[in-house]
Parts: sequence; C-alpha cells; structure tokens
Amino acid sequence: MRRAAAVGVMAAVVLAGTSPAAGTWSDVSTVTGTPVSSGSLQAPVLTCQSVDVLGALGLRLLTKVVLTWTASTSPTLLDYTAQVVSPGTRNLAVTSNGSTRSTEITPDILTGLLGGTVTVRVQARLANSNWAASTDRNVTYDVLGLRVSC
Amino acid sequence: MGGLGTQAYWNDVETVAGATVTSGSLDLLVEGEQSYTWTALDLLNIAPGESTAKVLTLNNAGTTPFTVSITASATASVVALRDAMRVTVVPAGTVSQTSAVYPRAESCTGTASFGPAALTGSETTVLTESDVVDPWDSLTICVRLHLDLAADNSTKSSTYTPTFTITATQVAP
Repeated sequence: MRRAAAVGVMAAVVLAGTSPAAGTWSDVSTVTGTPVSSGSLQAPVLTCQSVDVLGALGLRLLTKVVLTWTASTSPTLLDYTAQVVSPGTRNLAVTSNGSTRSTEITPDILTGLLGGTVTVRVQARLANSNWAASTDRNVTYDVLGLRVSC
Repeated sequence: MGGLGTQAYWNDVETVAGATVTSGSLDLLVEGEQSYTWTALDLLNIAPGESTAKVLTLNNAGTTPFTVSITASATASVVALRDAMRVTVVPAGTVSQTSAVYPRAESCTGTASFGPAALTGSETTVLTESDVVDPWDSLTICVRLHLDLAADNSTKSSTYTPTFTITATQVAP
C-alpha cells in the first residue's frame, strides 16, 4: 500500500514537469517494548519473643522483648534499622547472627508503658538507594507489668 | 481519352511493445518484521543502579537506499519510574556486560545519539538521521535502560514500557 501511494505521487510529479526529487518515499515501523518490571523489597517478617530478665537470686525482675527476622538477600543483602516510632522516636540497635537480625525493646522502654503500647518499626533498605520496606509491631505491657504481648 | 488513374499509398503498421517499468520499493523491517515487539529489552525485577542493553537490527528490504530517524516515548505504571529510567540510544552500538549480579549492568559501546535521559509520554527524537542503509543492508541500534539510583521508593513493583517509532526516508538520488 505504501509502495503504490508513493508511485502515484512520483508519476504525478513527472507528468507535471517538476523535479522528481520532490517526491520522497518513506516507511515507518513501530517497536514496542514489553513491560520492564521493577523489583521490590521484602518487608521484614518479625517474630516477637518476651524474655524475662532475672535477678541475682533467679527472681524475675523485668521483661524485655526481642524482635527477630531473617535478612533478605534480594536483590542483595539489605540493610536494617529498628526504631520506636510511638510514643516518640528512639533508635534501637540491630544485631546480626548469620542471616538472623534482631533488636531488643529493653526494660527501660517497657517499664514506662504499664498498660500502654509501643510501636516498633523495622525497616529494610537497599543500600545507596531510596528503596525501603518496613514492618511495624506493637508491643503492649499489661497494667501490672507482669506480661508483655506483641 | 484518357482517365485519371487512382493513386494509392501503401502503409504498414507495426506495434512495438515497451518493456514493463517496475517501480522500486522502500521497505524497512525491524528484526524481519514490519512492527516488532521487543521482548529482549528487559531485566527481570530491575532495581536502582541496574541497567540492561540490547541491540535492535533494522533491515533495508527494499530497492532504495534510506536513512533512519527514531522517536521514542514511554509509559509507566507510576510516573516516578518513567522519570527515573534513563534511556541511551547508540547507533551501531554493541552491548557490553559489566556485571551479571547486583547491580546487574550492561551498556552500549559507541557514541550516543540520545541520553542518558528520561523519556516522556510524548515523542522525543532519539536519532535524527542515521548513516545511509543500502538495499539488503542493515543498521543496528543499541538501547540501554538504566534505573537511576535516586529512583523514588514508589518505583518498586511497577512497570515501564518504551515505544520506538522508526522512520526510513529515501535518500535523494
């Protein structure tokens, strides 16, 4: 179809006695890419454990909470941070043991929360980028200070 | 008495058939097809800092030499991904892989006619005019996609689709 149209134009140009160079053929092709999918980061899957802190006589003094998760290696080993985000903000230390990461909500944080809830956010981050994924976990200390739920 | 004689002229007609004049053709094929879906230009789960590069082959399947110009546009499920995807176009470029693990990296060797820069939803010229492609000859175009390290967090789990419109124009005799 393209060829026929172009020939018609050329013939008209020649009959009119004008320069044949006035007609120029062209052809157009379209190349469509298939969708390129961007990756994602796995949000930390947290496991919560309350641990009694014993005194010298084996008496239970306080309770701390340990959050653990497995470090993701997709697309590469991710960096992790932990932070109390409510009430207030407070950075928590993250420790590594092989592929396991953990953070502790220490008694000094919990004892101020009798009957209250603290929200901890664990964030995974792809180094040197803005990509991040996080998981929040609420930790509640009962009114009597005897039990922690998370 | 003499009468006037009748004058007669002989004639003869011969028909000379002219040869059929066949017009030439101008036919651009991309990887052997009129329109092409470029599945190879992909990098599964591309992440910030990663790149992929692939070569496209354009063929002159007609009888007329032509040059090529290319415009391009892109769509994305989130605009931030389109803004963060840097596109480079290198005529006659070849692919060079520098890393097969994160950050996976491929590049186009040669002189770029466009980029690295983001495409928009509107057509942008990425190649103004190529070298002349003679009949039955071909031209390669290397295209690189690079997701900028500064890509926004919203660019995760999104899709990006580039489109290239290639125009072959007859070279004036």
